[in-house]
Parts: sequence; C-alpha cells; structure tokens
Amino acid sequence: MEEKQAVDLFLRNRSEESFCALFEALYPRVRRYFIVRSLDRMTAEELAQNVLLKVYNRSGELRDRDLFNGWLFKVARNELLAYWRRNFNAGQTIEYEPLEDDLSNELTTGSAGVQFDDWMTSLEPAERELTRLRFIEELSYEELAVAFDVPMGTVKWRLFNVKKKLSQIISASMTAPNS
Amino acid sequence: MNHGITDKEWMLYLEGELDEATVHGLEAHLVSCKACWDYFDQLAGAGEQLRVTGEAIRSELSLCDRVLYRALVSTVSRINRQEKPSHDMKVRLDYLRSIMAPMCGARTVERALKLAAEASPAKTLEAVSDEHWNPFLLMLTSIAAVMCGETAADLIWESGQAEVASC
Repeated sequence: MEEKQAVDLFLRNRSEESFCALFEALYPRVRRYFIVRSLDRMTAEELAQNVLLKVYNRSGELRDRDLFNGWLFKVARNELLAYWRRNFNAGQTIEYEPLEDDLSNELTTGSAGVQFDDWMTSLEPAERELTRLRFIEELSYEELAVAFDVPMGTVKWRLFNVKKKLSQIISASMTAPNS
Repeated sequence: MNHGITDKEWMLYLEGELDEATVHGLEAHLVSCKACWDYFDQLAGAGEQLRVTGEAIRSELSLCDRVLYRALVSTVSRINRQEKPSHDMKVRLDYLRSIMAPMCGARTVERALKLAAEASPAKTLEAVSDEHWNPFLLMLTSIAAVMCGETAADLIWESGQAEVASC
C-alpha cells in the first residue's frame, strides 16, 4: 500500500490492521531518519519503533492530515533529542545531535551517505537537520515548517542559506578526480 | 548583495517565485556577467546534487522484510500490552531458558541472558521489566544468532514475543 493511502486509512480508522499497513509504509523512513544521524542500527530500530508507537497512541493530536509527515518527523526529532539527553552527560545542553567527525561510519550509510555527511560538516546542527529532512526524507516546505515550528518562509530562507554555504564545496567535490 | 541582486531575490528566483519584471532584469544581467552566472550555477547545482544524493541514500538504506517483520511484531505486541498488567518476568525468562538450554547448555544460557540485560536499558537481569523487554530480547536474539545461528535466533525472538502476547 502506498504511504499516503496507508496514512489516510489509519487516520480514518485506527485499528491493528490499518496500523500494520501504516507501519510497513513508514517504518523504513523513520528507521533511516535515525541511521543517517549516526545511530547504530539496533538503536535506530528501537527508536523507530518508539516513534511508530507514539504515532499509534497520539494520532488524535494531528490537526491537519496533509501535514502528517511534518508531525511524524517532529515526533522522531523529539525521540532523538530524548535519546541524546539520556545517553550524554547531564551537563551538556543538547539541542541537536553531537557532531560526528567519523565520516567512515560504515554502520550508517554507503558512499552517498559518506558524501552527504562530508557536506553536513560545513553546516550548523539545525541546518543539518533541515537539510536531511528536505533532501533525504523529501519533506515539503509546509511539512518542514510543522516539524520545526517555524513559518514556511523561514524554511525556504534557511534552505537557501544552506545552498549558499554548500555551493562551492559541492561544486568542488563534483569536479574532483575521485567524485 | 551581488551586483545589485539581493540574496532574497536569488532565493525567490531559484524557487520560481520572483516577479516577472525582476526576472527579466536578473536574466539580462546573467547573460552578460560570468561571475553572477557562475554563482547561480553553483547555487542551482548544489540543490540538484543534494537531491540526487538524498535519492542515493534512500536506495542505500533499504530494509529487508525480516527486519521489518520483527519490528512490526514487536511494536504490535507493545500496543497490545499497553492496557494489560505486567506478566511475571521470572516466568518469561524461565520460558526463554527452556527454549535455549537444549541448544547451548544452561551455563551458556545464563551468560547470554546476563550479557543481553547488561547491553539493554535494564543493565541487569533483575531489572528487566516490561519496559525493557523488547530491547533486551533484541540483544538476546543477536547473541543467539552468533552462538546458535539465525534459525535459533528467530525461534528465541518468536518465543519471547509469544510469551508476552500470552498474558
């Protein structure tokens, strides 16, 4: 079943059957969300299950069905923040994930992921989050606005600034001999 | 600002939202200014490369049916358990012991249970509870896969889920 169809079915009729269809449609994306943020696969799978469980329990909070993806990744982001708070020093202020310097983390992704992670090191944590949701999870501007609780114009402006920051780096990596 | 073109105008132009008159002016400038043309080319190229690389990442991180199925069974079990009282943890662990002992011996089973608990949020076997059951079972299954193979690991996983569902 296609993702949109599974979401509509579940939101109309919350049952185990509709949840299973929703789970099959969404779990790979949510799991991927955690993997590209450098979590090992077991932790990513556990957190993804937590997110889908929260979707089951809290789907009534969703006001606009068309913005389901934005709400979903807001839940995922909060799950990730809670995970970092539990697993890092209490004295640290955790807003986003700790900077990962190891670009060769083979548990994360293949060569495209390594390339993407390399570009992300030039961005601030908030920009990295926005860029991953836009270009890996393909959230629309509207959905990103929901996920980050900001106006759509702010989303567009921040993404423009990301492209500005990355334009020369990406251009250089595309013309490098090994690219 | 770049040759009289503001960042806002660049952004709107890339989004296709710039008014027609300004578009004409901007494009007339691009035709004659290599620096601005290169700047635009890099901006547009960056967006395209991010899009293409994102697509490649989605392909790289595809999910096999086995992992999807396990995750689904685990999550549905948690949903079903939400309204039910906690099952006796000792009974659950003893059931797993009875499944595993013929495969690898009682001492190895105890060692595996202890290791799985230590690697899970429970940290000790005594602290394993409903809340920790799934991460504990996941760790135990991983250990069993190494010790006894994937078939045995699947049996342990299914047994652990079935014991939960029976309460």
